[in-house]
Amino acid sequence: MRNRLWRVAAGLAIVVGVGLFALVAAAREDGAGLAIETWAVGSDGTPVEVEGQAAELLGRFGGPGLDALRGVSLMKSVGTNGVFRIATTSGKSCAAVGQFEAGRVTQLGIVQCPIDPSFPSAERPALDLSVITIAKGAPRGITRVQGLAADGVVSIGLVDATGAIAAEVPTAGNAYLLEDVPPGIVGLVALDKAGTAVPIQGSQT
Amino acid sequence: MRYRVAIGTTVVALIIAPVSAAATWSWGFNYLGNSSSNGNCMAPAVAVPGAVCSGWNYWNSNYMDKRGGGYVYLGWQKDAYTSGFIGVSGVTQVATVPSTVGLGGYLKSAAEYVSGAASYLQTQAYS
Repeated sequence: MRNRLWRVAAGLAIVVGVGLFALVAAAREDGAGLAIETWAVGSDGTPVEVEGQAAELLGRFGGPGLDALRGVSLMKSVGTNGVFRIATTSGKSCAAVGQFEAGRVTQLGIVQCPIDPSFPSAERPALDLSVITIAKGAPRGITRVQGLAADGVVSIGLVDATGAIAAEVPTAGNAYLLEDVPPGIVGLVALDKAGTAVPIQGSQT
Repeated sequence: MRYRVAIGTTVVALIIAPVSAAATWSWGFNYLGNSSSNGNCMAPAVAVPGAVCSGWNYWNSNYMDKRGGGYVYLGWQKDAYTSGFIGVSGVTQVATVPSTVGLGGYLKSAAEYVSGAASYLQTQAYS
């Protein structure tokens, strides 16, 4: 009788344990694991003008759920390469990367305007525009890390094939940019000040 | 007679100009899932099936209006072994330029299913 009770108790413990693990995993997967109470982007950046190819590319964006694009702000730069935030009349944020000179964006290379989940939010703590490349004889890997991060995301973790965080890119002014990524990076995570990590949507190779 | 030739030349130029100015490729709105294919993508750099690609061209940019579904790549294919993408999920609008993913020249625009539910989307390429 006692053996049977032990078996039932052990079975229940396993079921509860598996359930708790699934709940924690699900919470971490949707970003709820980060210790961030209010989802916001505190940095204003520097307003910039948009012209030429950049204006033409932005002209394709808008419509239901997004409405019209408003101002463009430079959030981070390395030389003439910049990470930009684009405000919309819906209140949602877009992100872009490209070249700028003398306060003018002349060329945009990637633009993304997420509608659902929007940025910033628990489901999208970072609006990632990182580049994934495939070359002959090499596995898929992330070769450029860039994007916008919510307040409270202190760094972006570069995840290798073993699942370990091989390096971190600090965020500054709600943006991050790393042009020389070490080889073998296959994913990205957003990290808060407590070191909690959640996967960044769109960064899995 | 000289005026007629001039007018005729102008009319021909006006007819040809919009065609030669910019080419556009478009796919969708349709579902992009693990069995989707339009027969244009080159494996192994891009999944076949599981992806749709434009024809070859000197494209300048592409665009995707994704109305739902899982995780997909949008980017470019240079040959069967060379591609560059960014990954997107959820409902989103996104555009890329070949040089930003490290590619250039004669390319195919590529949209590839990665995981999750099939995505309802439209994708375009511009030259």
